Amino acid sequence: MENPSKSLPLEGRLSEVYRRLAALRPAVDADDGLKQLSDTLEAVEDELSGIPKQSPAPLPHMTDGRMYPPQPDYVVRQPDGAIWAQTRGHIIEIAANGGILIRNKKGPVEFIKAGQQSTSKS
Amino acid sequence: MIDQLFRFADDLRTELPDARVEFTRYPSGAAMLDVVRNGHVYVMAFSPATGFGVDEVHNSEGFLASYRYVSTNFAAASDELRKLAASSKAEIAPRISLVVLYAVDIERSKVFYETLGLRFRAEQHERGPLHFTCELGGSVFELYPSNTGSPAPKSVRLGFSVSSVDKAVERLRTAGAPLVERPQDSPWGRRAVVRDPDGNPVEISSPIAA
Repeated sequence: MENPSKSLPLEGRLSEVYRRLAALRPAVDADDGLKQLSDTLEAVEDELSGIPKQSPAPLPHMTDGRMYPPQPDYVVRQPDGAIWAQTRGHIIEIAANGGILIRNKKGPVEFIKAGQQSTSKS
Repeated sequence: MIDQLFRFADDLRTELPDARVEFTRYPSGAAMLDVVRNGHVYVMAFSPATGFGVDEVHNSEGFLASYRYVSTNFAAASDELRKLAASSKAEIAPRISLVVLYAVDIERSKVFYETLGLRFRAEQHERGPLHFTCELGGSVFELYPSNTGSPAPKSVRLGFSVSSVDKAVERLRTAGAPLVERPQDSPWGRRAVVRDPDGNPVEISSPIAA
């Protein structure tokens, strides 16, 4: 439900997404990592944007001001089990062990988190 | 369509050799074309379901999903991306363009800074006060009269690069400027600090001779 009194500027919401994502347990694999990112982003936007979610995400010309997770059209699975995804402004690499790296296309890495360590090598 | 986009990416690499052009195609039939030029990032997204979106990426936009330019027409969308990328100008690092110093007696301060080698001209804008202005390598340094009549607050430290610190300091000391730090070599070059007539610290430096 929209609650403008709780809305936070976009920059603060993005920081909150990264703060919550960092606090989660390490993802076990790439799918888990992508789910963590998507669920966290949507939870923060539900709570703090004051902008109701449109499903599916709005068309490219529709500016609703809400952040959306990577869309399925722009997700590709790598042979090693990793997932690469792109949004308008970000490149997202999620390793097979769940490690997450989010790079702003302007250059800086905005978020990095280790995945679950492999323990079954023998 | 994907083949057209791929060829368009190649065309951009030829047209804009200083740009980095990245083309990614997806199993869904979607594609993303990024053009990085002069510190700017331009994107053209294609999805079979929604067509083309073209925009410039800014740091402050998070995971917003909308594009400023949208079309279902490849020619129109590619023209828009080409236009954006071609018009990009290099981002210039911030630099100081203006320093205004408020002086109790601007004539006295003018003499001090002229002793350092600066050359001023008098200016007065409409009903504003008479002041002195000096162009310094792309920046402007100005002396304005202090309205309060009391010494200017010592919250400013000016730095000037000169060809010889020792000679400049000698001239300033002869003219009566107090010496705060005598000329000496430092990791940043040879430097000294004096005070101007209002007590502002003024650093004078020059590179260490090779």
